[in-house]
Amino acid sequence: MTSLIASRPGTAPNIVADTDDNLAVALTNVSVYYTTPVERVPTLKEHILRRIIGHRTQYREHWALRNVSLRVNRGEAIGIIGNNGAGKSTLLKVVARIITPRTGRVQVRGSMLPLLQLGAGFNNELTGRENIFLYGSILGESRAAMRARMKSIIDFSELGEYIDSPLRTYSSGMRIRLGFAIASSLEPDILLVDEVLAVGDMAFQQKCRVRINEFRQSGCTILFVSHAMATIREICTTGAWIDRGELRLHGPVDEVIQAYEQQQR
Amino acid sequence: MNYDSQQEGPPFVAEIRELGQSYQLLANLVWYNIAARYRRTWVGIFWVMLYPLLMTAVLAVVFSGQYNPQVEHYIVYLLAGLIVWTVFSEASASSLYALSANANILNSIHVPPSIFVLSTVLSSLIVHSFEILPLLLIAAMDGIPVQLGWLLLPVPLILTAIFSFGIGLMLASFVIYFTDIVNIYQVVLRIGFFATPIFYNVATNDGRLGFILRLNPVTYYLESFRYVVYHGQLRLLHDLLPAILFAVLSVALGWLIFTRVKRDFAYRI
Repeated sequence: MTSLIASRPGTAPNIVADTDDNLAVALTNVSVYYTTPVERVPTLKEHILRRIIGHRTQYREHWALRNVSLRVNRGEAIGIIGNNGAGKSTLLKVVARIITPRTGRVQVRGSMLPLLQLGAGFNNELTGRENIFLYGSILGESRAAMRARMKSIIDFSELGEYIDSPLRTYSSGMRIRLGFAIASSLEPDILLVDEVLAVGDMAFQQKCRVRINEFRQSGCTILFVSHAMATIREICTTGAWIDRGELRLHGPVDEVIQAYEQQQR
Repeated sequence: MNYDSQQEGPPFVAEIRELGQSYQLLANLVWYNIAARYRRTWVGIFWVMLYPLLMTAVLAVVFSGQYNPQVEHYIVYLLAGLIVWTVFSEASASSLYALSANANILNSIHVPPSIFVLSTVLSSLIVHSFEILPLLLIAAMDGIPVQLGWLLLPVPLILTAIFSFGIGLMLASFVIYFTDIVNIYQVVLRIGFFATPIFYNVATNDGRLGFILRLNPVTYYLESFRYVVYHGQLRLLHDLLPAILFAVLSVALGWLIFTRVKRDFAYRI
């Protein structure tokens, strides 16, 4: 037990805070690694037996992010690109405070809306309307605030009278539409988007892109993870290329995409 | 709104602060959890009242024959004990799944993870509070005087929930590392059922059993709850004080363990 807790993530060395007023998100020397057992995960009995005979389970460290430093200014829309498993999603999770990095410092200024998984926390037995309140409160919004937005959410989701049917009767497309309609009714300072637009039909994807562009025009900072380079070019002004956990390049979006695509060939 | 990973402070303080800020989410989780659970059933929340009544009937048939517990109003005694035991066992056992059942939330939005343990425990407390109604009805029919002191009944029940919350926090922390805890805890609860004075009388058991019963924290919640049903009063030294002490101890320890390992949850669930 103690050996497992000893590998607890933390923030040991003191890193000077970024105090620039223009700052939205700053990562300083951020590292995240997962320890995965080389052998099969032991049960409690095996763990105790191994302790007694002095055999320690071997762990392999998988570095999802290694010493990443990245500054995102207020109002910047940054596209994060890279191969599968490069650490793009982990980067967003660190910013979203879902993962506490093992080392380094994370600073976030302003309210944040993470769109990592649409409709996380939806309850199948509840109606669409009830799920608006539930999901809204998961995103940190009060009942009153959700009630005020109810009509525009239902309109955006195009669910019509189905809004009072239980969620288990919804198709997956309807669930995603509702999830995006609820989340995008918020007015965050910082928006994190992870591939959520890859789902849904063409018309809905188009609608989502329009909504995200509206966010950008209203001065929202956007961190956008995607494999769709066209979408990234459309939405983002800058790009960051993550390669095997390391930040390879950060600059104007066209330069970063070009460098990434060249390396792919 | 601003976040700085180096100015978080100690996790056991930060978690209290965040939990306090998330009361609206807590209320929604509890309310919708209860609503979703009973919406599709035919008699809804009445299932909750039916279960202890049936269980009481079975125990009454089994134990009123050859085994003489020397207890007045034995049916009331059984039902009162079962209600407290059910709150404790259900609240603590379902805490084992509190984090894994909400893994998709924990993996996509930052929320204080203890909120899922707390909402689980509060759901159990609220649902089983409905059982007080049939209990008091039976008590009155069995000749226990209807009294104003019955208004004190929530006190021992809430203390039971606080104690269960502490145990639930510990279980939710351990199960992240060892899934076996689920099976082990099932056995512990089975044994606990017999090591708690649900159908025995503590006062008439002095030997080894009496010793175990007095060592078991859950005993004090049962005793306290029953005394209110029977006499409409709380006894400070006999059971209320130990009940409060065990509740505070369990939450303090549970909170320390939970907040110490909580950063690991994201890496493990």
